[in-house]
Amino acid sequence: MPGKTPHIAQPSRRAFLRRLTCSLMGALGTGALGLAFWDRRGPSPAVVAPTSEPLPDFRLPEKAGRLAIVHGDDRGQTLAAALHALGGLGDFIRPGDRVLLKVNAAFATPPILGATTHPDLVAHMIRLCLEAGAARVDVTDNPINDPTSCFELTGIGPAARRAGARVVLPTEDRFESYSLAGGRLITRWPVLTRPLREVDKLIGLAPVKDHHRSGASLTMKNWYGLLGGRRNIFHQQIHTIITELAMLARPTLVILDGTTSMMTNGPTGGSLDDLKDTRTMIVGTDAVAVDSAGAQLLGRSVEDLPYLRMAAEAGLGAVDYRSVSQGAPSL
Amino acid sequence: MPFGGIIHRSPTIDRAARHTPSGRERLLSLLLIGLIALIGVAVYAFHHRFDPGQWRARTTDEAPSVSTAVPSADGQPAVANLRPISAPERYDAATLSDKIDGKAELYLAAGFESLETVRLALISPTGPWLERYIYTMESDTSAYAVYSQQRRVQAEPLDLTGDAYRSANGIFMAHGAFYVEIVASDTSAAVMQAAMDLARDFVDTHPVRGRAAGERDLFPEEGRLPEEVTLTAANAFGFDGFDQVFSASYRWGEHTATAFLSRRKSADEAAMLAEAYGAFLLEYGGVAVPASSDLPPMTIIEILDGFEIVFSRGDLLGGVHEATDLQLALALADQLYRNLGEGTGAR
Amino acid sequence: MRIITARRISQIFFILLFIWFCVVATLGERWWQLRGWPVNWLLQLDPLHALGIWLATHTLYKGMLWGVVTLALTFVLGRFFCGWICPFGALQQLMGVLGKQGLKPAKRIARNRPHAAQGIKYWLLLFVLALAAADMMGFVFSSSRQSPIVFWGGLAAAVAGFVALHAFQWIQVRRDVALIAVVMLAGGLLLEWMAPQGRWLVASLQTGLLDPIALMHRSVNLVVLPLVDAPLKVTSALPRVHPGSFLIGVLFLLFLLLSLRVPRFYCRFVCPLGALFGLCSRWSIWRIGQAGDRCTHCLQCERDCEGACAPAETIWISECVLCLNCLDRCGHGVMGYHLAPSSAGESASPDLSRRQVVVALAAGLVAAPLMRLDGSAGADWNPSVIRPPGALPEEAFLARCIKCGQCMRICPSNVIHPAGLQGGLEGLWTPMLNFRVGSSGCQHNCVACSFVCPTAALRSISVDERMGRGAFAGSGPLRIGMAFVDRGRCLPWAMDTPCIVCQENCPVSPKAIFTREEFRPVRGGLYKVKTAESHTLVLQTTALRQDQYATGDYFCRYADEPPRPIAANNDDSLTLGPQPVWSRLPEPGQPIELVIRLQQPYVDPTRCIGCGVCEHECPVQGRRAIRVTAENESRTPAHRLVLP
Repeated sequence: MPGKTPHIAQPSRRAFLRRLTCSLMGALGTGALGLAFWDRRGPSPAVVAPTSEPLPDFRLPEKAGRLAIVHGDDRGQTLAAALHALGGLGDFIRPGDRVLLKVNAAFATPPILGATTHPDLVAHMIRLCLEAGAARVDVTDNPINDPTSCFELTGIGPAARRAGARVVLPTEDRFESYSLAGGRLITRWPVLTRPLREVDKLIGLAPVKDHHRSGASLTMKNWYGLLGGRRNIFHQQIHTIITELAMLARPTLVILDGTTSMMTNGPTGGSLDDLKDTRTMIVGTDAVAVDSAGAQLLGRSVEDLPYLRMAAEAGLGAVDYRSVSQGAPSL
Repeated sequence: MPFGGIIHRSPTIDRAARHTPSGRERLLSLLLIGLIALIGVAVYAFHHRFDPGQWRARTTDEAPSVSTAVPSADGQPAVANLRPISAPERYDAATLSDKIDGKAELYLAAGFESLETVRLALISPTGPWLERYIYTMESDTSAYAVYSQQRRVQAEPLDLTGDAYRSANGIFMAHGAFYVEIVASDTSAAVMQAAMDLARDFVDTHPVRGRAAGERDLFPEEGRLPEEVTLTAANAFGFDGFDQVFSASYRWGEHTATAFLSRRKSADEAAMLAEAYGAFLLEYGGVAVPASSDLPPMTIIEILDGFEIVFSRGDLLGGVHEATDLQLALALADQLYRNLGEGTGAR
Repeated sequence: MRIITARRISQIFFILLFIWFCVVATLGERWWQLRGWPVNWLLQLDPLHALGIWLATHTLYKGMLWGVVTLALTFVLGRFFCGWICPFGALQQLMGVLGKQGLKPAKRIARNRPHAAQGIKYWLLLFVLALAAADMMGFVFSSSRQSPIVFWGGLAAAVAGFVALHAFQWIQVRRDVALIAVVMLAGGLLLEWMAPQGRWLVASLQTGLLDPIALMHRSVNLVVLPLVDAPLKVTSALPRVHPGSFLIGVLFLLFLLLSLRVPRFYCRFVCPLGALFGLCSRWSIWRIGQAGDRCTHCLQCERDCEGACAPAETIWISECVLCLNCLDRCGHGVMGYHLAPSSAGESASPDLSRRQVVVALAAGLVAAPLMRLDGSAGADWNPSVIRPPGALPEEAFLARCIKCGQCMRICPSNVIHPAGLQGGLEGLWTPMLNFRVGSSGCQHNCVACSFVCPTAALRSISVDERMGRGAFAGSGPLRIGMAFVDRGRCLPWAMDTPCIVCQENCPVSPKAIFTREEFRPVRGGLYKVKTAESHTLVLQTTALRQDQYATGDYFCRYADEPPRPIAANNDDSLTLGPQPVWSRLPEPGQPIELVIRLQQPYVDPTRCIGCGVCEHECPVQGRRAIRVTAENESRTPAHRLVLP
């Protein structure tokens, strides 16, 4: 451009020093940051399954191997009687305990279809827990259908809230990439662990159902609801996964509600014709024994359910439930 | 401005003329060029440091479970003057061809189960080494089959175990259900002595019951060549149905023949197989020769300038193959037939 | 020795070095092959990638540390990289010189006038940095929970530092900038505490799209080198082809052609790396400028000014690329490279209004999750996107891949190619495998691509890990996909034609492809027998072609007898093989059937590693009858097909 540029005063020494400092700070800062974040090895292979912190063992050793079978129509009564036969819920729940009830809310179906845990049972259990002094009762499951509608339509959600418990929905932050020590299938798999890590006692509540793939869906199959991800893949090795689930979740008590049993077309059922009034409530501390007893209600034997034998071989319980101490008679 | 510039030139009047660089400019230019040269040298020096094993497997890496690390002494034969120079390798039916390539078919057809090999080197003198192959076959017969089908020329029978021989650089034996080869890197006495010790050690540490394949004893002795009896596991003489066939070579004067026999599952099967072989020979241009009545019942066929005889006795199939003279063939067949009579009873 | 001679030598050296690195990126041990040549060095020197990766993964991987050296030197010296090292810049400079041949000085000067559009590259820089920033932001905010001492201590120190510097008037902290910073900090902390696992923002590394070094590597390796080497066959015996490289070539050509008209077009208007250097060179200790007031405005300095920074007047200091042509040209001893700023005044950079800055940053922050909606890393993932072995899970991969094309260049089978939009917008020019193009499938004992990747988007795996041996025997071989037989196209399945090429070529042991035998009637293969002997059947026809059925695949079936192989035939009779023996022969007039024995391939999902050799060898050359897709790939457990 033509024209003389105006004479500009020479910048001061101070300005130079300022620039020098900024420059050196920039250079050194870059170097320092680079070295601080330097990663020589790069992302590591996720080959070795990291050992996850194992889930707590909620069983009470002094109550091991106890089982009670009560017959009756009223869930509240049979439940109370069964618990009484085991020594009373107070033996299991100390005052101030936080309790988690793992229910079966897998499908968004009405409770009369028997595909999910009955809300009355849930309500009674919550009441009894609170009476025993529990500080808090949580109810959780990872349903197959949409969680919110499942908890609502099965009646479990409203019943739980009315009874004073908290429904814990399976949100993504409550899952953890879990590896079961000694497990082959449950390695780095999303498992709903957080609700279990926040409580002192774990109780499983399951209905008695026929299951197309595994033969029966009883208390051990109930823990399938702790798995996340695309867990359908485990149906390829259904008995192994049920065994591993029994290793994963070691509850204080399991409650098998055989008041009405789904005899065919399980696990979803769909018709009242699928149900039969078997009028039995089985409560125990040994899930294998409870399931063996429950299998009888479906007219199945232990041989029909390979996972029972596998779990017994893994030391998780006794198949011969009659050897386990019995409880009260019919009501 | 208190600080001087790095590059600063004196003004010239002629605008178009290229300036002459100042001393400072020249020095800086040279330093920078030197730096660039240094970078070039460094890049060149760097390119020597590399490990192709990081890009992909080397060809020697292809064989599974090969490790060149020297293993511990456990499980290694306790033979003086030998030390292991490679870890033991194991191969099963699926991977056998990785070790012995096409020869695997021979073993697989004969009932192969597993192979274990190890390389040992002489301690003194250093240099020679040997490799021991232990083939675990499914039965004594299988082991004998692969042993006999691989009889080397210049074989010198050994007194180690039932069936063993050595060649210039190796020792081969069928011992129970094992077929063992010890192959040395050269023919020196030292290494062959170590190989013998190794073979003896194997025999001592693997006791077996008796000797396999009693059928071999049924061959007539007269005229039989000193080579041992061969057991062909499959497809003997080009005929599909001939599996597990023992054969022995004979020479009478200038005539040669091969006698063969095979124990079948039942007498019916032996008879049917004899008939099928006869039909097979006829199919391929053989001409039947009428048998004389004072001989046992047998099929005689002349084919391709030679004579074939086949018969069955009980559950044993027998015959003569590629005999150059008919009388020889008939005599041999007759003798064999009589021997087989003993064989059918004896089990 | 003039300084620009040194500069020219430097540019020539780095261009030759670049070309050499492109040539030697061939697997092998000869001196013109890979050996230990540091083929990634120029990419590693590039701090834009280092910065992008640092933001997107809060780590700085291995060799990317070189970028720190470049950036640190830029703080001190200015944009020396642009003028002395960058091969793309040198190439454009060459094109510019060619384009200016024969032009009068006034025309030349006109081509180097500064232009406001030179600010575009700063927007692009901010945009790509914001795209990548989500991870670092998350890392910083999560450290407020995980290492609170470090976080709050660092924050306090930074605040104290800024306040002190402001008080001493060393820097001026504008009130609105401070306000924005505080709001962002508070917002981030709030989100962190409220929803610690929830992520609103995702990190996506797109620096590779427009970075000059990555662009140069891509263009030369995937377009120029294959074209040049096709007759020479130095780098590869078979011509290397890369479908999808058309766009790369066109862009390269476009920028070079534009440089004929506007020298260093890309450098001035597009290059985000140049923008980064521009921002950092503001405080350089030495800088180009006028000294004294002897300038006569002859404008000779601007004849060959590469950066279009107007050295004759108020110089745009951040645009100066240290080409030093002004220095060389100035006949009055005015221009110099010295400690003081130009006596004619300096302007920091092209005018970037605050609004433009905010828009660029915000657009980047929002664009990444928007692009992710495309679903390439979620439920609607594209199964034809098979990533090379060693690739990280898709989200982590997209945070590291700089689309340099080194993996595509090194692959000895030539099966890695730049993706188009198959992997979503973010996946443009990322590597994916196409087994129809190349010399074989992905060789199952080769880990060259993961070895060469400069940023660990393909993490460095060993051969043992790839093949599932040694320490990795428990986890089995690395899988990149699964082969599926298309029974409607496979020759033995659908076309009655024997073929087991896929099974023969399957490289794993035991093979992942196995066959089951089926005998299928030959079309029109029912004939009546005229006469039958033990090995020959004469048929009531003369329609057979000589030895039509003698290939070894044809069998003859009669009643319920087992099929016998046909050894030979002439126009009316068949010669059968001796085995299996038929218990009875057909009577004259009875029908026999010609059948063909087909070995039909099946894939064993527990063994298939997705290497694609089967797809490559399949004789159905169009849409292959066995195709590999990305199910069951090891890197994504959610795509697992079978249980271990």
